[in-house]
Parts: sequence; C-alpha cells; structure tokens
Amino acid sequence: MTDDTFVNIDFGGESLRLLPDKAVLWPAAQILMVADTHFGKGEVFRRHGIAVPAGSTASSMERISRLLEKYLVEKVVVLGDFLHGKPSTELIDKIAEWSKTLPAQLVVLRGNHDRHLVDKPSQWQHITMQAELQQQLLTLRHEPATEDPSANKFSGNIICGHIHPVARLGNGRHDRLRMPVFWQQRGTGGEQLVLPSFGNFTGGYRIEPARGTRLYLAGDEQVIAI
Amino acid sequence: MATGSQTSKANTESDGDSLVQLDQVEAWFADRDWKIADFQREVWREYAAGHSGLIHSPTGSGKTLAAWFAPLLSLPRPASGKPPTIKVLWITPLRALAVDTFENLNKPVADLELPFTVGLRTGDTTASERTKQRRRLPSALVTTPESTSLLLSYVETARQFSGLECVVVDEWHELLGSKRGVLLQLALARLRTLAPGLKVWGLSATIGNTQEAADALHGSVPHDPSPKSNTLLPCLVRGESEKINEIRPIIPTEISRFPWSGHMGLKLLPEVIERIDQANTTLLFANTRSQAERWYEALLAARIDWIDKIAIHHGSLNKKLRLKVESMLRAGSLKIVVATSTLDLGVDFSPVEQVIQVGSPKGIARLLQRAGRSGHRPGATSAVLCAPAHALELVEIAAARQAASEGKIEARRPPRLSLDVLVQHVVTMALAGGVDPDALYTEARSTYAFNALTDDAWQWVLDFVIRGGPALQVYPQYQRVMLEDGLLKVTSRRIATQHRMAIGTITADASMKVQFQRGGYLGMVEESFISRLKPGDVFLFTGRPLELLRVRDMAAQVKLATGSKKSIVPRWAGGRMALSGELSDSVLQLLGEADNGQFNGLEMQAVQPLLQLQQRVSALPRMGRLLIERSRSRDGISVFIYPFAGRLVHEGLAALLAYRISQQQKITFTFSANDYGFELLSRDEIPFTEEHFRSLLTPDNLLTDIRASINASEMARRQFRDIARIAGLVMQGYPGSQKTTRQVQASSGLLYDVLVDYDPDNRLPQQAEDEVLSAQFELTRLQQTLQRMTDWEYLLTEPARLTPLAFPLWAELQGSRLSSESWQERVRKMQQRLEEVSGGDW
Repeated sequence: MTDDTFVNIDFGGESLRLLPDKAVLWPAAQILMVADTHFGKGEVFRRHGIAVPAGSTASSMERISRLLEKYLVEKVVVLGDFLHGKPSTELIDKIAEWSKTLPAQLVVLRGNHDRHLVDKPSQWQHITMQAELQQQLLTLRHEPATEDPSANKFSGNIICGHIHPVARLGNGRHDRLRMPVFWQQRGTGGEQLVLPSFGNFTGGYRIEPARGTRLYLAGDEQVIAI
Repeated sequence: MATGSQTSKANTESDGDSLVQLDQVEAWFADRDWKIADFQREVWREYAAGHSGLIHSPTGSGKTLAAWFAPLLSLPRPASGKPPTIKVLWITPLRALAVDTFENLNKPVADLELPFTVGLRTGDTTASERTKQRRRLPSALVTTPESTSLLLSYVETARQFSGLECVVVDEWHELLGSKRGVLLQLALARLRTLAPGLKVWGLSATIGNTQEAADALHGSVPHDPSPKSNTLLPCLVRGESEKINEIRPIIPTEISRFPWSGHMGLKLLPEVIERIDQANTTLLFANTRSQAERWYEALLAARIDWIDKIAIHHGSLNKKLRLKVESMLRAGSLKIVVATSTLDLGVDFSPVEQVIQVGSPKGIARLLQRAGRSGHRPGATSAVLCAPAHALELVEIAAARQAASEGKIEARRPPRLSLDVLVQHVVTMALAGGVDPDALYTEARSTYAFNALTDDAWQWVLDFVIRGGPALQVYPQYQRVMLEDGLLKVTSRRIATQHRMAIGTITADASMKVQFQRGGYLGMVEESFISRLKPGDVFLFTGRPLELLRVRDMAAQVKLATGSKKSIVPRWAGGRMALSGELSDSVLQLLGEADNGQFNGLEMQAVQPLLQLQQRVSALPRMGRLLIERSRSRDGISVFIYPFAGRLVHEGLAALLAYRISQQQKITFTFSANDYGFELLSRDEIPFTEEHFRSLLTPDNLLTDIRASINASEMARRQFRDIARIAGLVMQGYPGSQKTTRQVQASSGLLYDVLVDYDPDNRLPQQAEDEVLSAQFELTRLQQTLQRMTDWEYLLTEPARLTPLAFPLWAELQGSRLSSESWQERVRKMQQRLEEVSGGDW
C-alpha cells in the first residue's frame, strides 16, 4: 500500500506507526495509543460559569471510534488524563455507553487529571484502568521520564503523554503556526516518545529542536517527519 | 440659586443655605492670589441651571476647581450639620492620579470647613475600608471606572447612588478611546437611571473630536420626551489656555548622511546631557519602555555622579517604586526622570523645568501634553525640547510645531459595540440584586457605544450569559446568570466573587512578575516578552541587567547579570505606536515645500542637504504624489513605496500588496515598514509600471484581500486574550484558590478555537477579528489612504543606490516574512534549520 499519510518509526526495537489525528499504532502488539483526551473539559468550564460550547468531548470519542474502524487492534490505550476533572454522572454514563460500542478493549492509564477516578465507576465494566502497561520492552504510562529536550540518558523505553508537545513553524509576526507533534528522544539506555494530546480542547507545550530529538508534525491528514 | 454675581448671598436665605457661598469661594481663591476664570464661573452657572457638560482645553489648569466647586455651590447645606452620603463621584483614569486628586479636592473642603467628606476608592483601598464604604459612602468619592462598576455590583452601594447629584470624569480623553471608556459609559447610563437628574461633567484635553467626546460621555436620553429636556442639553465649555507651547529641536551638530531608524537617538546624548545640566529638573520622555531603559542606562553610564538624582518611571515598574519616584519628583529632589507615557497624565510636578522628548513625537496631542508637564501652573509657559533619533525626525518636529500652531489635533475614536464589555456589564448588573433585561437593553442603547446595538446582538448577549450560547444548543451544567421572575440574577456566590475579581482587570495586559530568586519584587513585564527569552538570557529592566533563571507560577525569576553578556532590551507593545494622520500630513506638506526649494526654520534647514540628496537621486514625496522606488542588491529586488500613513497602515499595505502580487505569480516576499513607507523584497521581478501599482493599490475588495493576506483568524486568535478575559471566558487565578482554578485555565487561543469549531454563532471571535484589523492595521485609515491615493500622481524612480528614505527600511529589514508557499514547503525549510541544529546525528 502506498500511503504517505503516516510515518513508521523504529522505537526500542519495535516498529511503530505514527498516524494522522495524533494516534500511534503498534502493529506487532495490536495496540492503538492516544494520550490526554481530557474528556469533559468543557463541562468543567461550564460548571465554573465559563461559556465553553459542548461538542469537543463527543467529537474526540467519535475520532477514536473511527480510528478503531480503520485499524483492527485488540487494545486501545489512553496514556493518561482520560478525564479533565471531576466527571458528572452524565459524562460517566456517556463514556460507559461509548466504551460498549468499541471493537477493542479500552485501557486507561491513570494520569494526574484522573485523580477523581481512584475507584473505577461501576458502569465502566468495559474499561480497564491501571497505572502503567508493560509490553515487550516498552513501558506505556502517563508521565515522561524527563521533560528536558537535551536529556540523553534513559532507563528503558517509554511511551507517554502529559506535556502536549507542539512545535512552532514560521517566525514572522503575521506568519506563525503552532502544530502538535510527536516528540521522540533517543539517548543511552533507551528512548522516549511523547504523544501529542488527542483532545480538541487542550493546549500545548512548545518543544525546541535539540540534538538527539526528532519531531513529527501531527496534522489531521498527514504526519510529517521534520 | 444664582451664581456668577455678588448677589448670591442675598437669596441664599430663601431656600436654605448652599454648602458653600460664592463669596467664600472668591475669598479662597483670593487667599491664593488666584483669580476665578470666566470659564469657571460659566461652569458654575451652567451646573446651577441643571446642565451637564464637557470642559476642554489644550493644556492648562483650573478645570478641576471649575468642576469641583460647581456641585459644592449648588448642594444644600445639611440641616443636621452632618456630611451627606454620596453626592459627587469623581472618576479618574489612573490610580496614581486618584491620590493626587483626592488631596486637591480635600483641600478647599478642609480650608472652608465644609460638612462634606471626601473618600478614595481604588484597587489599592484596603478591604476594611471598602466594607465601611459599602455601608456608607462618603459625600464625595474619588475612584476609577472599574471601581465604579464594582460599586454598582453591590445592592447596598447601588441603592446609595440614588442620592447622587454629580459625576465628574477627569481626563476623559484618556478613557474615551478604550474599552475602559465603554465600561464607564455603561456605568454612567446605570447611574442616570438610579439618580434621575444626575449631572455629568467631563474634563478633557482638546482633541480633534471634542463634540464626539461629549456625545460619548453624555449618551442620549431616549426615554425623556418632555420638551424641557431640550434645555438640558450638555454644553461644551472651553477652558483657559494661556499657555504658549513651544516646540524646539535639539539639532545634532552633524547630520548623519543616512538616517538610521534602528538606534535609539543616543547620538544626541552629549547634547541632551548638556541641557539636563542647565536645568534643575528635567523630564525625559521616551516613546517606548525599551528606549527609556536604554537612555537611563546611557545617562547613568555617562554621568555616574547623577546616580542619586536620576530615576526611571514606566508602567512595568513596581508600584512602590513608581510612587517613590513621583514623590521625589514633586519634592524637587531629582535632577532627571526618564519616563514613558505613564507620566503623560495630569499629576502636578511643579518642579519640572524642562521636558525633553526623545525620538519621534508620533502625535501632536501627545507632544503638547508632554510639553504641558513643565510649567504646570496657570499662566506659565510650557516648552518641549525634541531630540530626534534620526535626521528625518527633524521634519516631524517642524511638522508638529506647524500643526500645533494651526490647531490640528488628533481625534480619539471611541470603540463601538464592544460586546465583551457589554457581557461583563450585564453580569455586573445582575449581581446587584436582579435587573430587568428590557430596562437594561434600553439603558445600554442610551450609550454612545451601544446606540446601534441590534435586537439580535442583544439577544445573543443574553443567551451567552444565561445559557452560554444560543438557546437551541445544549450547554449542560452551565450556570452564570439566572433568569428568575423576569429578572437577571447571579445566585452562585462563587460566580459572584469570580466576576468581581474580573471587573478590575479590564486593562491588565497579560503580564508577569519579575522577581529575584529570593523573592524581591521588581515589577511586571509582558508575558509575550518573557516567552521569547530562554533561561540565561539577559535583559534590561528597571535600569538593571537581569538574567532570566526560570519562569515559575506566573513569575520570572531573575538574578543580577554579571559579566559582559549582551542584553536584550524588552520590546513592549508601546513601541508600535504609529505616526498620527495629522502629523503625517503635516510632514508631507513640509516635504512639498522642500520640493519647491523652501526650507523654513531650524529643522528644515538642518535637514536640507539630506532632502536635496533624496530629491537628486530619486524624488521627494509630497501631498498628492506617491513615490515608488526600485533598487537591486545582492538580496534581490526591492520596491519601496512611501504613502506616509504611519507604520501600522504600511504593515497592512505591505501584506496586502504581497498577497495581491502572489495571486498573479508565485513569489515570496520579505517586507519591512516604518512611518513613512514600506519595502517589499523579493528574488523575482514584478512589473514596474504605474498601471500595475495602481491596480495593486486599489481600494476595491480591500476587506476580502486583507483578511486573506494577513491570516486574520490566526491574529484574531491572539487578539482574543483581552476579549476572553473581559467577557469572563478566562478565569483570573486569585490567592488561595490555585487548586480549583487551575483546571479551568485555558489559553485564550484554545478557547477561540473551540468557539470557532463548536459555536459558529458566537460573536466574540468576529469581534476579535474586527479589533485586530483596526488595532493592528488601523483599517479605517488604511482604507482612507488607498482611497485618497487613487487621485494621486504616481512617480516611479529607479535610483542607482539606496535613497535617504529607503535606507531605514532596508536597515530594518528583518521584519515579517510573508510567503505564498504552502505549509509543507515551509516545513521543508524548517527541516533545513533543524538539521543544522541537530548536527545531522540521525
């Protein structure tokens, strides 16, 4: 198949595919990964009297469903910050309903925003929650081992989220563009891959290019290595 | 009651005494060897007849006392002898002015032992004092527009305002052009409802649109059809201006052959030092804070003996430091203060003997106001010395003097239909115990800012505060304003507190504390500036070189920089102010005279060789003539165009032309712009004919093309910050609540995206785009510029080398890059950069 919308990378001895729409496919392990969905962020704002329109959470769910239609996998793993804040019962129900429709097992790794999920809601029978996931030689979890772009020592291979990496293109006052990126760092002892945040309503942390760093722009239709 | 004549005493018995008698006032003036001016008596007369009005004068004083004694002469003396509750509200734009004003108002009250209390309420007022005021307001209160709105948000203070007689708005011209002015217009409308018969008086410098300023202040009273109301039309009173303002240049001994716009005017340092030496106290105004920092550093480096007599004053400084500088200035213990616009306003610094303006005056009103900082006494002459930063600024100085003598002064346009402010106001009104939406609508439409408010827009505002969005869309869990029994109310205490916190922050730019690692607080600096720095970078602030250590919890931690690291001077937003239309036109006229061989006055004679060189190798622009130059260099082909319409318009025009050309051919431009014109640089040839440029500079399709050319939505996204804060979409963190607010912190850009994606009917993104066009490119002026150039002669020249007009543009060319290439291609270029950085390790 000649499809140049995605990029294959070598990571910790495994072959990973960086997909458009901010997801990572690990074909050998039958896993699809996304990070930082921040479900329910809009409703947290609305509860505080800030008029944010509804729709971003539903659209994120829809995007995950569509990815799973396209890629047949056993598991879809959310690398933390599944929820943004304390969820309403409506949201818990909505997520439960949605999880039942998914053709793969939904695994949620706890992130710092998920502190309201100490106990898994009883409606979520179809969802597995855990702190991290070890698979072959890779560790999937929420927080990176380092946020330092110049770090060059790692112990093991970590795939994570948490920091919402973005890169800035262009330098003019009228001509600037921020794009979410996959951020790969290679060093001695292992490497680290940080996924861009999946949610539509999430900010970003700007990554400056550095030695040993590789960035992949996560466009909606195309991933481009830079 | 009769005023303005000696008979006042005779008829005061009939209707009970007034608070103060005219003869007492006359005696009080006489004690100070002051004379009551005719305009002051006129104000008292008009006030007594029940009129509102606007007192304006170019500079000069006496306006305060005119407005202050008006209500004092009319108000009845309380029978009980106890001071009445709130009768006069005195609104001032700056907190710093409030203290000064408070003292000035209190003086005659104390001297004449009037049963009248004067109070002060600003963001600095202590919580206990505020609570006391809320229960019982003083007879007169000095406050700011934001505090006024805040007072209106409490049921108990709003109720007290029903006895209000008079509102005085000081320095109205300062508020007029901003959203703070809009907020105040809405508050005044509310006060007129609460206190029928309220008299509103504005004090203003003379501006180009004095009548519009009066209209904006007074609004219209739509629901007072009584024939009597005609006689109550607000009046314009022209204040005294005996002052002769002198604008004089400091002529450099050697005019540099090529003007260079990049430097800061420091070439004139020796001449300026000489002038400072000759006067006791000098105020040196710079155009930007960066220029101020640079001059402060340079003066200190040149004259270390001035170390305890020199100070710097700008808006980013810590308040304590600023107040200290102000009080030292007042006491006459400083020799020189380097300042920016923060000292433009009317605080009285009598010891100031001399005012020096460094760099372009930018506008006539501004220069006159600065000139007025010296000799700040009735009858005294004020003068300003101008030190040009480059040779062509000499023309600007001459032009400013000419325009001032002809009375040409810039207008300040009040913003219209700022829905973000209306949203805030509606919530504020809902806090005060419930308000009828229809009454509020009528009230809003009585203001100048919202007299064109449509039913649709109003309905959107109501939907937005009640439901968060359009009625048909589901906004679950949303609560802000409730509609109960037909009244708008805020029932949640948390929402109320949150909103009151937000009212005060209408002016705050997103700024960040600058502090030492151990906590010593230095001041505030724009976040956008800090975000461009990396740890280890050195910048100048408060006259000290500081090294950025880290940014934490909205504070930039710094240490004193050591060694010889090169410093970056902060570039604050103020630096982008454009040359005003009036001044630009005046410059064009002088260039026209020069074109005819006339060089009148010191400045024009000094700059004569340079202008003649321009004329010889190319041509001089003039009113009615658009000059376009083309030259070639190693960098490519440069086209220079000189409309003389100010930097912002030129930036817009450069982007517009680049876009229009790129519609015809695939081409990439680099451009730069200054107050005189702009340059487009490209590797490729464009047709160099009059016909072609006429088609490029056509006013047709302007709006469509400009939106397409500047990536308006991306800029609007950045502009959205202010709007999001004012409309209550961005929450202000406040002490003790970080934990709960952090979850609801979202960048305004993100909110903008979400609104655009999921709420296409939301009106705030569109407002952001409109604001960006008018703020960033002065859209109206841009339109007028294109329009008038259709009748102009086009003169195309191809000089062999860079001309004096072209040189500063060429030198400054580091500006925006604008490209018509797709983003993938840009990515490819970024890739090259990245390869260099990463050293090809992969």
